[in-house]
Formats: sequence, structure tokens, C-alpha cells
Amino acid sequence: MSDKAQAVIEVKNLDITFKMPTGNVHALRGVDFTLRENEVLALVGESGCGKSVTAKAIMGILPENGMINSGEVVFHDGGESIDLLQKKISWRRKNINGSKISMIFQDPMTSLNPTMSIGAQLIVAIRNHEEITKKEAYARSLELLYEVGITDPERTMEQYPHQLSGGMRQRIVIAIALSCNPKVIICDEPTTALDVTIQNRILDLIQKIQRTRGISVIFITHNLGVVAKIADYVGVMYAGKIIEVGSIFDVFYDPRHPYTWGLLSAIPDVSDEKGELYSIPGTPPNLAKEIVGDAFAPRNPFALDIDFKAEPPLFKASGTHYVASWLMDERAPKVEMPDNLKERIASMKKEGLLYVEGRE
Amino acid sequence: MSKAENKKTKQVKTDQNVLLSVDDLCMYFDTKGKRVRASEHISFKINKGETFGLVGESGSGKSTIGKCIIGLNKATSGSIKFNGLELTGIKNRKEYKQKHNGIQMIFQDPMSSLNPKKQVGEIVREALVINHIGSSREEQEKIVAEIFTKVGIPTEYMNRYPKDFSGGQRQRIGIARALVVNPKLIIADECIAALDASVQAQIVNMLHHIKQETGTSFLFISHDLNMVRFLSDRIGVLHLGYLLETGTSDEIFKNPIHPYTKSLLAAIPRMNPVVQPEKIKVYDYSTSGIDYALGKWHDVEGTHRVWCTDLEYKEWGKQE
Ligand SMILES: Nc1ncnc2c1ncn2[C@@H]1O[C@H](COP(=O)(O)OP(=O)(O)OP(=O)(O)O)[C@@H](O)[C@H]1O
Ligand SMILES: Nc1ncnc2c1ncn2[C@@H]1O[C@H](COP(=O)(O)OP(=O)(O)OP(=O)(O)O)[C@@H](O)[C@H]1O
Ligand SMILES: [Mg+2]
Ligand SMILES: [Mg+2]
Repeated sequence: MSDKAQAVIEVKNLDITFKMPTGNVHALRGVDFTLRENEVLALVGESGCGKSVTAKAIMGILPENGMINSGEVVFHDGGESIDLLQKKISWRRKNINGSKISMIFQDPMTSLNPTMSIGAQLIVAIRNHEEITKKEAYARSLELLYEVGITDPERTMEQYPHQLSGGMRQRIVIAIALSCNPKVIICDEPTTALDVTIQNRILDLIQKIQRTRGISVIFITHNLGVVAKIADYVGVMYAGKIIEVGSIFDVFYDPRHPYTWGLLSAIPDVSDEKGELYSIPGTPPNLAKEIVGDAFAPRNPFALDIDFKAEPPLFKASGTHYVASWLMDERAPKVEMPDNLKERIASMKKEGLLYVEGRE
Repeated sequence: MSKAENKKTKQVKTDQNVLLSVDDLCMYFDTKGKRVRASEHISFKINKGETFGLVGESGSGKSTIGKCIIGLNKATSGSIKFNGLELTGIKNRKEYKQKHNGIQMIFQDPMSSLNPKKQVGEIVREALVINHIGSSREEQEKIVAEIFTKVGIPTEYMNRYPKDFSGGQRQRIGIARALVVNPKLIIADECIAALDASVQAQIVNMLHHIKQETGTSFLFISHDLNMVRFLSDRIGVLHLGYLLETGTSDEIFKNPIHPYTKSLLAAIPRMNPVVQPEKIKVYDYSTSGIDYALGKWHDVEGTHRVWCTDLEYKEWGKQE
């Protein structure tokens, strides 16, 4: 990470358990990352690895059975550094949520009020942060709706969430989140329900706003194509931990963790021909059971003996690139990524070069 | 056998292969005096064992077609035949059950389709009860456990509730519920959208195997064009309620004719941090000069068809 850029949010050793009648679920097992100013950090990883829980912890909206065992979420604002976890929820709601940090959820219905028209919801959201007249807020709402790709904003203002398709609902949520000019936006799968053309426009939009206003974005997605497009940095999560973090180029062109290898191999690309898709064997571990060693070991064809005994620390691969795998230890045998992926990355690089040359 | 007869038997044979046929389907919603034309003159067929992928932007009417087939929407006009039986104009519960037997739907939003008060194992077992599969509770529980393993949810989780799962895990439960009754047609509406890439690959491979093993047909609705291409034998492109282009995956991907299809394909995010979709000229129907209402089907080649006017077809063909 370019060390000059100021940290905006530092998540340190975040450890969270959900209390369940059937036992505890250890959802986050020490999550560490830094979000810097003017940067987009993507969090990727398998379903259930803890991406949404991480986002919810930052927002202070964990469900009641969620227990924070340890960790810090430090928010740097002006000269001040605040550990959000030490603050009352009511304080965070008033001072942080929806004004300094706003969130866009995976399921748009969780952020929309089914009994209020879209227009009323937008106007309330805008007037929560700014003292302007209803009329001004109405005009601003129309602009925002148009910005997020709604072609008939006047009509949409009068509609209710249930009258809109899934994709349109998500666009409304994005408009609401953008309405307060936040410093950080946390996006949890915001484009998952959208078609590619709209997705592309939304990503362009988020990118444009991010760049012009210099805000920071945590972008949760499982779509590596989206990551490739939007992210400056990528954190790869597995079973409640970040197992590889680096710049977009570190992770796409020089991945080191066998799990990242698996993820990168699993996506069909338009340039690919048909065949079986690669999928990582096995399933993620049951987080209700204690995990010994590297959580990925049972699915890792390259696992070493030590992987079943001790948890790997974050090894430094370069100034921007860190990897939690014993394969990074200097005593470990030298293991290379699978040939398929090697070829894929080589052609990715080649295509990249051609593309850059073509544009010059 | 004479040539004519030969042709006739062939004709019959292909007809027998058709599992679902949608003919000139229109679905209009009338709300507060305003009419939303969600489906306009939609026609397509799905053969036995075939996967038909439906793509198109948000609001283009993909889910509406799925809902018309499953009977959640009452079609305004047109015909939907499944196994040769007409699904529109069904009068009562009994007729519905009889004609829809063999169709399952996997929904876009897993949370709203799973009863929050029931354990997920029970939710899946209920599908067996409704369909009279399994002679005893034990047998049903065994089938449920098998299907959980198949979709990658540990069987220890069977007595948890939907809220205790992550989005992707819930979706797998929805898939398990549809699969467990061995349907002939599965309508999968964005069923992998909430899953991460690796699990998507597992699910898609799994759907692919199920398709090959059991001959189940799929109507696969998704906005992930890479996945649609991977899984589908044929693809239909929807826009503003109209089906604009259909053909095999290769016909659509290698030789898109309609400008909308072209813009859609150009917007696919690439798995490469350097190579990204150009800020392509957004296809804007209102200024395109195209009027979908004037269109009709034009055969390109093979199964490839485009919905447009004669003039448009001539023009688009020239730009090759
Ligand atoms: N309220 C809850 N009670 C119990 N367990 C929970 C709860 N919420 C989440 N979990 C568990 O915590 C883990 C992390 O869940 P999380 O929702 O963060 O996953 P995710 O990475 O966002 O996955 P997805 O990509 O599917 O959205 C999962 O194992 C999940 O089952
Ligand atoms: N019950 C309804 N009443 C009124 N309008 C409806 C209803 N259901 C759908 N529509 C409208 O029909 C159109 C098509 O909606 P549909 O849900 O089929 O889109 P979709 O292609 O599935 O979109 P998405 O990708 O966002 O899920 C939209 O304009 C939608 O608002
Ligand atoms: Mg999530
Ligand atoms: Mg839909």
C-alpha cells in the first residue's frame, strides 16, 4: 500500500463469534486490513467467509447474537482517530453511519422502507444531512436517480419498492447512499443483482464519485471481473481471516496463496472455451468447530504438515503484498501455481500489454 | 419411406423433444391506469435436456417470464405449453398441481422464499412431503441429507434456520429444495448471483452434471453472461419485454446481430485489471430509431434468430 496515503479505516485483529443454540460460530478469527484515503479495497472470498460480518462490524450493525471478542476498528477523521468499537451505537448512528460512512447492502430490501415511496425516502435521506427545502431535495433526488441510471426519475419517485425490479431497487439504494457525500462507502455486493450494462455504469459511477470526491471504498464482491475493474487493493478472505492482501496487480498477476490460485482459476472468462470449470475441492470449514492450523489445509493440495498444526502468520511478499501461508516460509519447499493458472496469467499479461499498446 | 413421410416423422420427433414452448406470450400489468408491458410477444422453446439462458438488463422482463411459466403471473395473452399441456388459463388448484408437476423454481431472493420459522432441513423435506416422495420420515431425511451434501452444505447445519446462513449458503438451500424432487424443468432465476466465484463454479458444474445425468431442462435466468454462456445450450436476449435475439451460445457470442446484444456483450467485465470494457457508447433505445413493436423474427442461420424489421435486418447484416 502506498505508505504515503493516509489510513482512513484500520481494522485490527477483529474477532467475532455468533452465539447459537447449537454452539458458537467463530465468524471472524482475527481480520486485519487498512483502507486508505482515495482507495478502493475489494474484499473477496467464498460465501460465508465473513465479508458481510466485517462490514457490519464496521457499521456497528451486528445482529444481537454477534459478540466482539477482540479487535479495533479505527476511523481516522481529520486529526482524530477513533476506535469505533469503543463508541456507543447511538453515537455511531448520529455521528458516523450514513454521514461519514455509508453502506450499500447485498439485499436492497434491507435498506428500503416498503411503505414509503422512493421519492419520500430519498428526500428524507437528503434532508437528514442537509438543511434544504423539500423542493430542493426533490430536484436533487431526480439528479441522483438519473445518475444511477434510472431513465424515468419522475415516475420512479412516486413508486414503492415492491413495484420495482430487483436491479432498480439496488440503484435506489445506491442513490440514497450517495446522497450524503460520505467519506467512506462500504458496498456489499452492490451490483450482484444488476445486468452487465447497468453494472458497468454503476461501477463507472462509483469510480467517478470515488475519484472526484477522493472518498474510500470497501467493495465486497465475489465477481473477480468486477474486482479487476474497480479495485486498487484486494483482500482475499477465507474462514474469517484475510489470507492474502495486495495491490490488484499483486493478486491478479502474482498470486501466492493456493486459495487465491483456486479462486482465480474458477471463473470462466469470455475468452475461454467450454469445459469443466475449475472448482476448489471440498467445502469451507465448519466455523462452529475449533480450527487448528491453516483453515484451508484440508482443501489445499499443496498443504504441508505444519498447515495442520499451526496457523500461518502474514508473510511479506513485497511492500504491498502479504500472504498467510506456510508456503511463504523460507524453509518451505518451493511450490508453483498450477500450470493452467500460469498460462492464464501469462495470457492475461499479454492481452494487457497489447491492450495498453493499442490505447497509446 | 417417401421423402415427405420422412420429413413428417422428423417433425414429430422434434416436437416430442420439446418440453416447454412459449408462444406469443404477453404479460401486461395494469396499475393505477398505467400499463406496464413486461412481456411482449415472447416465443421460444426449450427441448428436453436443454438449458435455455435468458439474459437482459434489469427490468427487461426475465423474472416475469419465469413467473408466467410457474403460474405466479397470469399471462395476458399467448400460450405456454409444458409437456404438451396448456399452462395458461388454469382454473383450479387441482389442475395446477397436475399440469405443473415437474416444474421447480429457484428464486432470485433466497430470503423471501425460505420460511424463516422452519429449520432448513425441514424446508427441503417439505418439498418431498408435498410431492409424495419417500415412504417414511427417515427415508426423506436421508434424501435431504444427500442433497445437502450435493449442494455443499454440511449436514450438521440441517437444523439451523435460514437467518443463520450467509447469502450464498441460503441460495444453496433453495437449490437443494428444487433439486430434491427430481424436476423435469428448473427455472433458475439468478440462482448463482449471490454466490462467490468458486461456489458458482461448483454449483454450475453441479447443475451441468445433473443436467447430463437426469436430463433435466433449465430456464437459466442470469445477468452473468459468462456463466450463461458456459451453462446454456441456447440463449435468448431480452430488452424492454421483447425477446430480441435467440440462438446457440456460440451463435450469440460469436456473431451477435442486434445492437442491443452487441452492447451487452461489450459490457462484460474482464478478469484482467488492465483490460476493461471500454466506455462503450451506451445503447439507448429511445434514440436508436428502432421500434421493437414493428419487429418480426428473421432467421440468421441454424437456430439463430433476430427480432427486427426487414430494413434493420438488411442494415445490420451489412456491417459485418
Ligand atoms: N446472525 C448470525 N448468526 C449465526 N451465524 C451467522 C450470523 N450471521 C452470519 N453468520 C455466520 O458467519 C459466517 C460469515 O457470514 P457472512 O454473512 O459474513 O458471509 P459472507 O462472506 O458475507 O458470505 P456471502 O458471500 O454468502 O454473503 C457464516 O458462517 C455465517 O453462517
Ligand atoms: N406485479 C407487478 N406489477 C407491476 N409491474 C411489475 C410487476 N412485476 C414486474 N413488473 C414490472 O415489469 C418489468 C419487468 O420486471 P422483471 O422483474 O421481470 O424484470 P427482470 O428482468 O427480472 O429484472 P431484474 O434483473 O432486476 O430482476 C419491470 O418494469 C417491473 O417493474
Ligand atoms: Mg455477504
Ligand atoms: Mg428478475
